[in-house]
Amino acid sequence: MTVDYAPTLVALLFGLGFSCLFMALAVLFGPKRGGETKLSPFECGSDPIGSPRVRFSVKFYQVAILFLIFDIEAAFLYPWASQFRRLSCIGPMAGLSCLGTVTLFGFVEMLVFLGTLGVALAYVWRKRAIGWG
Amino acid sequence: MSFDLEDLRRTAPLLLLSAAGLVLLLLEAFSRVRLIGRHYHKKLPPETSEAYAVPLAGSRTYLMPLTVLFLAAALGLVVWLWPEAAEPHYLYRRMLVLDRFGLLLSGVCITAAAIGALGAPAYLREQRMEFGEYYALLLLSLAGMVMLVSAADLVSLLLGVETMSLGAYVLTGSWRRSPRSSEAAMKYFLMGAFVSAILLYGIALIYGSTGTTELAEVRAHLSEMRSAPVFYLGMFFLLAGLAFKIAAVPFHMWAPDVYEGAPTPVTGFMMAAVKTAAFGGLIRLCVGGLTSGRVPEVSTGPTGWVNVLFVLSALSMTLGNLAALRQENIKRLLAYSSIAHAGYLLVGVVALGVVGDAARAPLIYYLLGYAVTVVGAMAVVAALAMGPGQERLPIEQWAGLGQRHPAMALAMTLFLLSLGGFPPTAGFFGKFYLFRAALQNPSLLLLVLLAIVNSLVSVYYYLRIVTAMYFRTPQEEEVEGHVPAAQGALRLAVLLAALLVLGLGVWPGWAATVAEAAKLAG
Amino acid sequence: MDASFPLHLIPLLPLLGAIINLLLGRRLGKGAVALVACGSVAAAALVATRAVWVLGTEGLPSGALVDRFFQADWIFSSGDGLDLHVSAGLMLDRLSAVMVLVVTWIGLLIHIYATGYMEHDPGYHRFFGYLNLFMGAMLILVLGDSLPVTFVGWEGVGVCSYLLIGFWYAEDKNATAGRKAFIVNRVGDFGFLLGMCLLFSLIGTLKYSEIGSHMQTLRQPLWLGWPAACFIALLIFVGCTGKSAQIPLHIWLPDAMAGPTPVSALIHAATMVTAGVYVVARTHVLFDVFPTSAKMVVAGIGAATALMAATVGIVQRDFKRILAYSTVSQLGFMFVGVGTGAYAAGIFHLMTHAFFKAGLFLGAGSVMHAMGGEGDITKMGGLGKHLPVTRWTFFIYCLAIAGIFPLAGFFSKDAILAGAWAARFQLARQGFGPFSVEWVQHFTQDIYPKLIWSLLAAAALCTAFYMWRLYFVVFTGRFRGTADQEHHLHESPPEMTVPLMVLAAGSVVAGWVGVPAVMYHEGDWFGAWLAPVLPPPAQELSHSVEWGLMAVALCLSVIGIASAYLLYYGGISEAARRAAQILRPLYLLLYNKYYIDELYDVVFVRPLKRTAWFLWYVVDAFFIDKVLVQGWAWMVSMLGRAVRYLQNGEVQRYLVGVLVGTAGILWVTTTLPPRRAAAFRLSQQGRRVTLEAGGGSSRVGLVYRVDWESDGKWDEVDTRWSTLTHEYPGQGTYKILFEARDPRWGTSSTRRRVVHIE
Repeated sequence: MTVDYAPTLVALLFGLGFSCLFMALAVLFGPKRGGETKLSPFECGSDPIGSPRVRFSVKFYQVAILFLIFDIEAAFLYPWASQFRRLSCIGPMAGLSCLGTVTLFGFVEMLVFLGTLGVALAYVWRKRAIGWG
Repeated sequence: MSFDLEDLRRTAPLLLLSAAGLVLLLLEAFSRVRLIGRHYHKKLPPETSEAYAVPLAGSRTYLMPLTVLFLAAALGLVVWLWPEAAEPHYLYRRMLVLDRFGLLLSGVCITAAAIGALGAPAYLREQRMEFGEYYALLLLSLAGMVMLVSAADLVSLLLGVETMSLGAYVLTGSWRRSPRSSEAAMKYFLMGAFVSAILLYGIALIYGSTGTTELAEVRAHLSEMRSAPVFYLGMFFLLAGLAFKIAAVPFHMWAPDVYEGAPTPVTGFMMAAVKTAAFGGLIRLCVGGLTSGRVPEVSTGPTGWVNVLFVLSALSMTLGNLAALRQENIKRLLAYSSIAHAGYLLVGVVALGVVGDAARAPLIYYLLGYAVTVVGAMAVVAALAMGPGQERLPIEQWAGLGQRHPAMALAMTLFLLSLGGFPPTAGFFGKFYLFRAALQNPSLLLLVLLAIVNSLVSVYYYLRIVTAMYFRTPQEEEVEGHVPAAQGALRLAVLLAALLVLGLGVWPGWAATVAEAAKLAG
Repeated sequence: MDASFPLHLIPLLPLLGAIINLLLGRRLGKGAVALVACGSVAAAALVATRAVWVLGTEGLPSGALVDRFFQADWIFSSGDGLDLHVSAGLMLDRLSAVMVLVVTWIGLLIHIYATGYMEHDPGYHRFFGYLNLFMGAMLILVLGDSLPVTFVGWEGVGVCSYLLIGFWYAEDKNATAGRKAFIVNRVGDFGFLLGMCLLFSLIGTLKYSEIGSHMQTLRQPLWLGWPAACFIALLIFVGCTGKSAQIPLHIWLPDAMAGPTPVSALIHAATMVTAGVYVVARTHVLFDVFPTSAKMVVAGIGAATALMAATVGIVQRDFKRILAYSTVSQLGFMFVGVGTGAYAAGIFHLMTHAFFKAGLFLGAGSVMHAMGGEGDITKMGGLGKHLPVTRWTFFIYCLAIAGIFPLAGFFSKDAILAGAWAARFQLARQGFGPFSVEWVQHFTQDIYPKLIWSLLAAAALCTAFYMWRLYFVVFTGRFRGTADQEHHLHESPPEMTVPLMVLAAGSVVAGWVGVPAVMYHEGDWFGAWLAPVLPPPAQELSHSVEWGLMAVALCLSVIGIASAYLLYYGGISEAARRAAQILRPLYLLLYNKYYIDELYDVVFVRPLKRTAWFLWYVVDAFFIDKVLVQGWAWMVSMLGRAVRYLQNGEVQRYLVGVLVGTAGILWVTTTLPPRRAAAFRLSQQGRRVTLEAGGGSSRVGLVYRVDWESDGKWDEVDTRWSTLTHEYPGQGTYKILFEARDPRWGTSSTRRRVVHIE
């Protein structure tokens, strides 16, 4: 029951506790020597020109999103790789070796997935979403 | 690890739709848009005619016929699987299930999509929105629906909802020149994402309290759930998520804006297919996962889903109808009407929980009738634009259409009568069967009475359009020289929908028999 | 034995023709429209003939050809014993065979005639579209295998009749006539529908072939000791009086002559108006039930109508109006036929009448065509020399309708008269008030049939008189119209005259299929054909009586013709004018059709108008518009304002709506059930008090605690029983504290109530 979630609670408390602890330590023991120069913007020693809210080309976002999507899809390869032997075996396993029949199931599944991803890539490429021109 | 190859065959419609979606996406991307000419409006002065000139995409006109062909093939596969679905088959390690209920609802969604797709090219061309991905997205969204209505597991349910919705989000925003369309897509997406989180949270909570996500297993473990509040909270979240998709009050607020802003054929598709599929998912969840004879309080208890849906149903039909009474914009009016219809349909789901399986066939019949009716009504709206870039939305612009476009006005009248529940249309028998099934349990008397009063009220605003079409003189001329896109395939779409609405109303027996046979697994 | 045949082709072909002509007719051109219209009817006629051939050669005499065009049930509902199964199909037996042949072949002739008659009309394609539509509906009517299918056709022909009467709708008079026909028919249809509902509620089927097997149920007394069948028969007959223009619903038919003449010939003489006779014959099992009061009503109404219309016909001046009253009168004859049990005779007369009455109307059309649309017979005269074909064919029709041997009308009218003479009605086994059993029996078996016979005989006399008056006034003597009209007189084109000649030939020979047995032993071939489906008359007449009746009828016809000759040969004679002068009151009564239209106006129309005025101004304009509609509108706009505050387009607010909604539903569903359950009911029995939690089915899973004395100590804790009992130790006033709690949420609600124990 609720007791099962106790470790989560403990982890949460630990996390909160430690971050608070270190911040408190820093406040307590850190030397505090402030001054006008210390608080002024220091980069290149000059005031900023213009608003920081510059309008970027939408292409930045587009490329960023595309990267994100394909990156996340690619991340799916890791769990697949770790389970690849399991997916390729019908029957019991001893360690990493298969005692039953070895199948192409895992392989074909990943081919289908990559194929779908390939279609998406082809589409994106064809629509010139990756190019900058 | 593997699965039976039979599973592939038994999910043939789903696989076909997904593959077809990908194929169309590639075809669209790789086919070159050749401008085969510009379409000028003859009677406009030269300086304005350039603005109205449309590039006619020559090489992509085959997309629509191809889509319809794919949809017809998918429908064929559904019919082909029908006999063997008499007994439920669980597929892919009990993630999906093949049963007649799922097949029939898939068929309804596919039919609605096909009618919508038929009308799309004429509309897209007229409204200057050449959007080739339209058909690919339609098919992919449809694949999500098929998955949703045949889900046997909360995970595949979520997957179906997400696939369905992603397509719908993009389709809503596909009219890039219209700020309304973009705004609608943005809202729909934001709220949809929010609700997806709720849905996912609900699934997690259900898993937390029952230890499984498989619907049949959830039902089997209802009596030994670990923490009732966790379970019920999860159930509420799931119901809220699906209630959002079917646009039930108070999760309806996106609907008027989105239905109004989306391109009209997309609106029809969403009102018909998305709603049908979401109802399919809701029925799967409630009946397949949350109804157990041993633990009746989960369904009919004080905090059971029946009570929740009871409240949603009463709210939806009342508020939907009241809001529709004052609408001047036809798409917005039909959006509110769609909310009200979600209320009527929820009466059926409530009845499923209270009187049991007897309410299933009427509910399916109602879904079928409603789907073909709205998709037809939206096809008429799409067909009768005032001019390029101007849809015929305010009701006063519908005045006098009885003379100017008699066939379209007649079809629209038929659809509106069906929505209002007049014989001999599909809508009448839908309401008749549904309310009669609900009345088998006297505790639903109040809800049915409310539904009947509401459908009487709704007659007012449906007939308002009819009277405008036949008894008012037109106020405003269409853009001079403009001929509405009511031609070819769009006409065929309207005709098809009208025939279905009338056919269902004149020979309800056939469809009712099929719906009766559409048994739910488990 | 039933055999299968694609009967649906028969109504479908004309319907297809109608669709083509109505949708595309404007573009097709007149030749193609005529071809489609006549071609589709001709094809239907050929298929029908083939079907009848198959029926005659292959089926057993009592069998039928069937064609189920809807396999599934028409209206279907599942579940709870309220199921409504109406299967619809087509059927052809020997009775419908007669009808279908008459309808298709005579219809074809009239279609051909109309191609000439309507030549110059701008609504050519519309006319033929409606005409084909009518044919389709009429064929559904006669081929239907159950009352609902017949009713579909019945309403279909009604609509076509309405459309065609008002075909020249630009003229107000025609539109009014169409409306009148429609409204009067609605009155009749209401009866028909009620009869159908009553029949269905009693035996659960409306198929003709199945009604016979439920006679046991239908013979049960329903009301006042009369059998159910009697009421059903009378209700159906109400429908028939509407469609077939019998008293009291006959008033629409003369006005219906406003339509084009081929319409009058096809719909208002030969086919549609005879549908009532057909339906009575079709449902004869209902009319045959003892006591045969329904038949008495049918025969009585028929005879009264026959005489009434015939007398009115004597003094009318409008060509088509005379023929219209003649039709009403002849329909009365047919109803006497079916009402006296001589079903075959009624149908026989229906068939022969179709020939000569269609011919008469087409002849009228030909005359009016030549006269430039003039219909007043006093402005005609001497047309015989200008229109020879029309004249001589008209001569034959007049002989036939007057009942001169050996033309068609003679045989069929003779059969009806013989049937009326021989009829024996049975009313009741006991007397009524002052009338003894014997007297009632005497009246129904001897007096009433003879009375009906005499009415018919008088009507036959009048028929011969007014038909020949018409003939002599129109075709003999001097022309009385304008010189201009005389100049334009011409015989009609062949597409009009050929149908006239064919129909004339039919009027001569059609009767020979039903020669009475006294003349020729094997003569009544028509009766023998129908015998398997329609029972023959119960009583046989002796040969001498039959010969006698025939002689009387023939004499009456000759007298009628002779007096018409004396008064009207060569034009309206002085004697005729003087007679009208002397009998002026009678003349006016007849000329104004017994003032029945005026009577209806006073009794029905004006009170209805006044009620309508009240409903409009007081109920509708004040109560509904002002109070209900605007009141609601005000409420709705208030609500709309509240909704609009939330529905303002901001997505943040929508999300808040979702959250508030979820929370609200959560709150309602978690707190409402305990609150409802806490509202408990008490029942007292001495010192024993029983408490039952409220809330009905929504209280599943709640737990309760109760403190019977409010002493701060819970007597029952967390029990799941929703009904608790307690026995108080002694008398006094106690306060009960009751709490319902939902254990899953911890939400609870508490109520107190005082109880007095004596």
